[in-house]
Amino acid sequence: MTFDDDLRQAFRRADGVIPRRDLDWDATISRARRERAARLVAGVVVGAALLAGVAFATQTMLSNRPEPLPPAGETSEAPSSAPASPTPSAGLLEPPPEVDSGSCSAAREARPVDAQEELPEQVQHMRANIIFAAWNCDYDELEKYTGLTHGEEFTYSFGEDGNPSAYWKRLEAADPGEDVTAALVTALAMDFKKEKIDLEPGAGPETLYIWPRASSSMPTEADWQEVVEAGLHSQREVDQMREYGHYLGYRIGILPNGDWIYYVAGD
Amino acid sequence: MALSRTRDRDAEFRAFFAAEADRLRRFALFLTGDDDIAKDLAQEAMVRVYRSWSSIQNQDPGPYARRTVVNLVRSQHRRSLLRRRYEKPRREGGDPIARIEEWDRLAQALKTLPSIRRAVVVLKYYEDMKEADIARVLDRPLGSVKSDLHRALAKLRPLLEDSDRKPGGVA
Repeated sequence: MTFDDDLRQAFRRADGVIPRRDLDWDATISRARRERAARLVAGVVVGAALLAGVAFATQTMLSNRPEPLPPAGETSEAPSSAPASPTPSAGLLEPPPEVDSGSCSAAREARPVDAQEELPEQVQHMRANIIFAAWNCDYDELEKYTGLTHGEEFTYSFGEDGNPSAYWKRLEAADPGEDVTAALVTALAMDFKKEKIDLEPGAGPETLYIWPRASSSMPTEADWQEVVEAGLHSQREVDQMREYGHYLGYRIGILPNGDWIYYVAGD
Repeated sequence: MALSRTRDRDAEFRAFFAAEADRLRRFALFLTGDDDIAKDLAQEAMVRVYRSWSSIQNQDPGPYARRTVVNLVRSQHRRSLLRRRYEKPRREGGDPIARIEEWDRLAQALKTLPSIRRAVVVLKYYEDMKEADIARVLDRPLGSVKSDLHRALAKLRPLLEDSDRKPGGVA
């Protein structure tokens, strides 16, 4: 008998001792119907808004949106007519000249950001793409970078499932709301730290680029102060986190291959 | 007409649910080692299957459901990792299945594998899938699946081999 056979038998034996525990049909179908209906309604609302003339505004916004950066190793072929390119100039990422400042907090506070050229190329590109999407209040583009639509993993909340763009929009629109897009750009504009982290049990530590440095495993006094000075969190909030023992504020992680794996706050 | 389509979808989905729900939960249990988490993940996968029913009903929805569970497990692992980094430690709750030796030995061995390799092993040895099918379910190159399997077995063999068997008898 081979180890293959042994393993099959081990699974059969283990399966035999697992008690049957039926999933709740009523709970599953009612949740499934509710979520499907919510998606359909969202689609209808978007369609109606487009018909009502928002298409023009959207078009205007899109025409001002820079082309996303190509993956590392490919040359940028952004059309020359694009008013703003995400390609860093003089080490800076410049906001597009015409942003709709009423659309989201990141657009209201758009200002040049250091390109952090010391980052690996793919991390630099992803960071720049995220910042430009936030400046343009383009939640769909942001969601695209999370990779969730392609089955990638991304953490944006510890209590929500579904799509992060709807979640971020909801937080921005709430009263009192959260400036999640501005916080995203503010955090990414701060200095980063490179950490080794066990993302998969048994796979060994992987490198992760994290913002802000206060979210690292061993933050320094300067790392904490940077959070307050950048306006990401108030001194009071930072004091509370330090009392708790960990940074719990807005934090971002990007893998060396450019995969954006989290943007989350709280615990 | 729309109402009739909804009824059809619900009836088809119900048949799929009846046939697959418990199997999906067991699949998730082998991936997570925790029955409560497995139940939640299986239910979430079922909700997503229903949401995408019109686009997947003409294929076999089983692989889609399993891919969803694997992705949820991987997201859930990263999510819990992020939580753990920022949370004070807490005591683990008791799991009745964990006390059963037959289950515990295999579950503990599977836990030593990265989640993608665990998924490859569970799909092959629990779901009896061929490597090419596993590659399709996980949307992963066949070569990577073969390599995952090779590495996973190298790790599992010393943990699961019967101690009183002769080494020559093992493939």
